[in-house]
Amino acid sequence: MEVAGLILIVIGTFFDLFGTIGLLRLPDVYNRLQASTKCVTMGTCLILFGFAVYSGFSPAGIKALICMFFILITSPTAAHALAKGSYRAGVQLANQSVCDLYSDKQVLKISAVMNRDVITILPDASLRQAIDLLVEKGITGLPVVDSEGVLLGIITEKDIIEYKTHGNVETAKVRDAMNINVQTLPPSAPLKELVSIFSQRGFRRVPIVEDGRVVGIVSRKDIIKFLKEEKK
Amino acid sequence: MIEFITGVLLLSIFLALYRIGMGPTPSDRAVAIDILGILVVGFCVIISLITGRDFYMNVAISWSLLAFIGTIAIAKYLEGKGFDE
Repeated sequence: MEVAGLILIVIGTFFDLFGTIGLLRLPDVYNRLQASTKCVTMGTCLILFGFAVYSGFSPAGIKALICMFFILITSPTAAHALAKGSYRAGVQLANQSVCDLYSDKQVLKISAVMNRDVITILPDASLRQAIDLLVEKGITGLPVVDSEGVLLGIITEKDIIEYKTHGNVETAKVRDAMNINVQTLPPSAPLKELVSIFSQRGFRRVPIVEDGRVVGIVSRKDIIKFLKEEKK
Repeated sequence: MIEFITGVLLLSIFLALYRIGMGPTPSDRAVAIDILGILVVGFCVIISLITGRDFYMNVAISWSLLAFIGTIAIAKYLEGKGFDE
């Protein structure tokens, strides 16, 4: 029994040590709290239990078990109160934190950024019209929609240039040159998703589609404009 | 054996003391004090083991309860509320 008790105590001390290493090395209060509270509670409970096993059914052993019971109840409660108190006191999360579900701040949605005045074009318009529209409005791409507003495709500068290598721009219609594989997003999607599409897949604009209809468009320029306004 | 256990526990206590000293926020210190309290309870057990006197177990029990009450008080203080809320 004595050997078993000592082994438990040794394991417990190592839990204590690793918990305090977490307390030392982790980046913010909440991480430190969760690392150290769990490990140290476990470690000290193991020490107490080891002592109870070591000393057998004696007054000291019973006291150790009672103390273990107290710590098991009080330590997580104290940790929870501390975390809540720190959060209310305005202690910041570490920069590496991924999400803050406790926060009142809403996640930025695409609908906050998107341009609602979408310039669209019908599939039966001529390619010449599309080119004129692109130049006139100073934009780089047009969503192609039918008369109901349902997205059919997109026509961009790139599509027109590629079409010019194998077709006649003068007689072609938008339908011939447009790109059917369009990356779209709903207005309720988080802005982060959009930004990753811009940076990873190389698109310059993403039509925002709700129930099949185009409700907006976000280009790289719209995000830059939004950043400028946000600063004010 | 017992020297080794004492050494490891003392090392953990020094790590917690380092966090109490360095902060940087009051919450970090409060967390470290809470952890230090639990470590001290473990340490009382080890002292009881070394000296063979039960007396230190009483210290351990009261220390664990006092550490809890102290931490709750600090947490409430950080939250900026009175104790009766």
